[in-house]
Amino acid sequence: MLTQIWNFLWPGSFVTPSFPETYAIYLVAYICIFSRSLQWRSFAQYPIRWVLFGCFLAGTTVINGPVLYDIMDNQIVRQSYFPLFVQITIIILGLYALTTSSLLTILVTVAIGYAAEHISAVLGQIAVIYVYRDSYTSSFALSPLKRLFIFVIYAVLGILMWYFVGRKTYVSDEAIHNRKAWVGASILILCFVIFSSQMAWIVINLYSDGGTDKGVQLSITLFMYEALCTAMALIILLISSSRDRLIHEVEVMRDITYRQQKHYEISQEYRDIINMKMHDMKKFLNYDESHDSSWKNSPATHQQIVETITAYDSIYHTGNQAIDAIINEKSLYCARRNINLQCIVDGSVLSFMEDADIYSLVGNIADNAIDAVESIQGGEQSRTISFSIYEDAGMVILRETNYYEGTLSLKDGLPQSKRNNQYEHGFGLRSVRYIVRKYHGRMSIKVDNQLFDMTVLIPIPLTES
Amino acid sequence: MLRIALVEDTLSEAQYAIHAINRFCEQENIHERFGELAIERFEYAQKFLDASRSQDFDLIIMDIDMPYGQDSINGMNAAAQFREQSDSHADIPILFTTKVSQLAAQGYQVNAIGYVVKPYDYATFAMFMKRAIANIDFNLRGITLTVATRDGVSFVPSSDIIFIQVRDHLIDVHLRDGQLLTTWGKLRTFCEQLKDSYFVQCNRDSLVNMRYVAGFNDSELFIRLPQDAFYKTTDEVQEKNASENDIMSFKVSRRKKSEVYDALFAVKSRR
Repeated sequence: MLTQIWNFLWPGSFVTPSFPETYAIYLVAYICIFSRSLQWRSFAQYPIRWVLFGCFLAGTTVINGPVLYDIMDNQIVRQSYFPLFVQITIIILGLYALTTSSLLTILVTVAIGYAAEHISAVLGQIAVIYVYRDSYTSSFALSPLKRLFIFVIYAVLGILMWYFVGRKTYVSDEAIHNRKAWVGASILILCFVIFSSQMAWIVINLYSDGGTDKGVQLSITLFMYEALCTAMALIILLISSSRDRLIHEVEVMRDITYRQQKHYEISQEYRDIINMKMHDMKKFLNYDESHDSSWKNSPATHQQIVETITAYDSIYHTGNQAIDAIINEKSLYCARRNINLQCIVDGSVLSFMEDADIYSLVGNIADNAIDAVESIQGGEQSRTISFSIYEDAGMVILRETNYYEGTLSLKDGLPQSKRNNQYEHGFGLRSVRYIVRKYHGRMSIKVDNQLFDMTVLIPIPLTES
Repeated sequence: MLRIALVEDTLSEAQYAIHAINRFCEQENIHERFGELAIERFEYAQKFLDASRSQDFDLIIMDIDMPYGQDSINGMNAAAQFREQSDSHADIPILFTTKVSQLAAQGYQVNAIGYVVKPYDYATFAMFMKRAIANIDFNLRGITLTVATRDGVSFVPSSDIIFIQVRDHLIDVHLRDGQLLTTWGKLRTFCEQLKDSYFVQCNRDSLVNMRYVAGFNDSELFIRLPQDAFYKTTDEVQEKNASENDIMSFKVSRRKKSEVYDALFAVKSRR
């Protein structure tokens, strides 16, 4: 019974007839091309894991695989992918043990490496067929010259892939989470393409004897087709799983433009208000000269003037000019709209950040909060925003809480946008997250009982001294 | 018992605040968690400062602009003095009330949890009370740890412990003031004792107090050691004095990641 299962899984000898079997080594090398995002453990701390992985790689050169063919009368009856499956599983587990990256990142990295290796393998096969009029998997024993030829193809393609793609690719957990469907679909396509490609062998075996012109043409066409399909799937996988700086930068640019425009509108509004107040004041002073001034000294009038002045006075001196500018602008805006903006802000702790980032970070948090409370009309909630920035044990903490009306659901830790037509709601917070990440921080949003509660932690970088 | 000190010179405003506190405690079922509610009102700051020398409070609600006639201490100064009175006052939440928000904007200097501008509505007050309750809850989670060392038994408040580390079957308890206590036992027992006080075991041999975490990246936590702290490094068992900016890093194992960051946010987002 056991031997039957074994024969089914492993049709062929255990030790490879064509030593050395190079497949696993090429695969690991290709995975390394796209491994920028993996965080390796040091050899010094984990020597056993590294040595074991090395032993495994060395062992694969002796063991038969990766795909075994059941051959009868020079015809392939059946293939077994069992050795391939085992090898890939061990490579994934090995990477999991050798890095501190998440399993998801490792899976996607392995899939990318596998697809890249597959493209190289197929192109190598095409070259071998073209040059030698012979495919290298069907003839078991490979001459050293053929091996060298294949190695050169692998190396050249590998270097090209690293130069044009690998060194710029950064697989990120966040991107994978955001585009689960795309990543999953492209991996499925990859599996399908690669496994169905083995059909090529059957077709080639059916219609030709390999060496003939017809056979060469047929196999090259099929392999080209296969390489293209794999490349397409690889491209989708790369695009969907890597952190796309460009897209983020476009988003930030859009944000800045929007912010400038809004700033202009608000300043215009305040110029109007201040002009109006000045006009009132002037009228009041003129009136004072010509008439009796008893009413001017009445406490009510006095109170009114003080209130007007304090409401439009810039009140916050936080120790950081960028923050002062934003908060003063926002507090004026809020004063007009009956919103209590309550800030306890130590701006000096953010001095390590660039001004542009502070504008975007603090501005977006404030805008998001103002947006949320503007629709509140009394009742159980109030139009109050609490915003604080302070330092705690070497970290900057930004905290913002406000009530909101209606429902709010979180997706990937950010509120989902409510409006479709205008400037997106959740979009500003995406910029916030982008900046927080840039400074190696983290953010968390909690919604509980109509209360929106957001915390940002940013470690203060140690000054080089 | 939940002890609240209300420092407010105007009677009507004090009554309003007491009403709001009662309403909040009723709505949020505060007595279930903290027991009876005891509000004590002080008419001016000096009176409060005299009382706080001998009395403990869980929450201070303080008016900032109080008349200067009585004792010339406004709420902000009183809060600063209160913090200086005793080490144990450092974590007591302070909520300001004020007529003019300018006065409260510097509240971070005394680690205030926030301020409400009078006249305030209940919802605003409740928003800050929730924060205050989170603080009180955090303070109550601290425990006193009994540590048996070669030199006798020490009783250490958990808030004074920066981290606990296994070294050669011994356990090093590193304290805030730079002291090092070495004891026997298993890290697991410490974990169980401290798990409600926001200590997280981030790898096989370190248990870290999240409040002292000064930085992090995807796989490490950093803690700034107190100056002149005496500690032994685990790798080569070297005795060392911490110099300025001495940073200790702790590897975070993958399984612990979410637990570590959840606890970190819970601790750091108190105020």
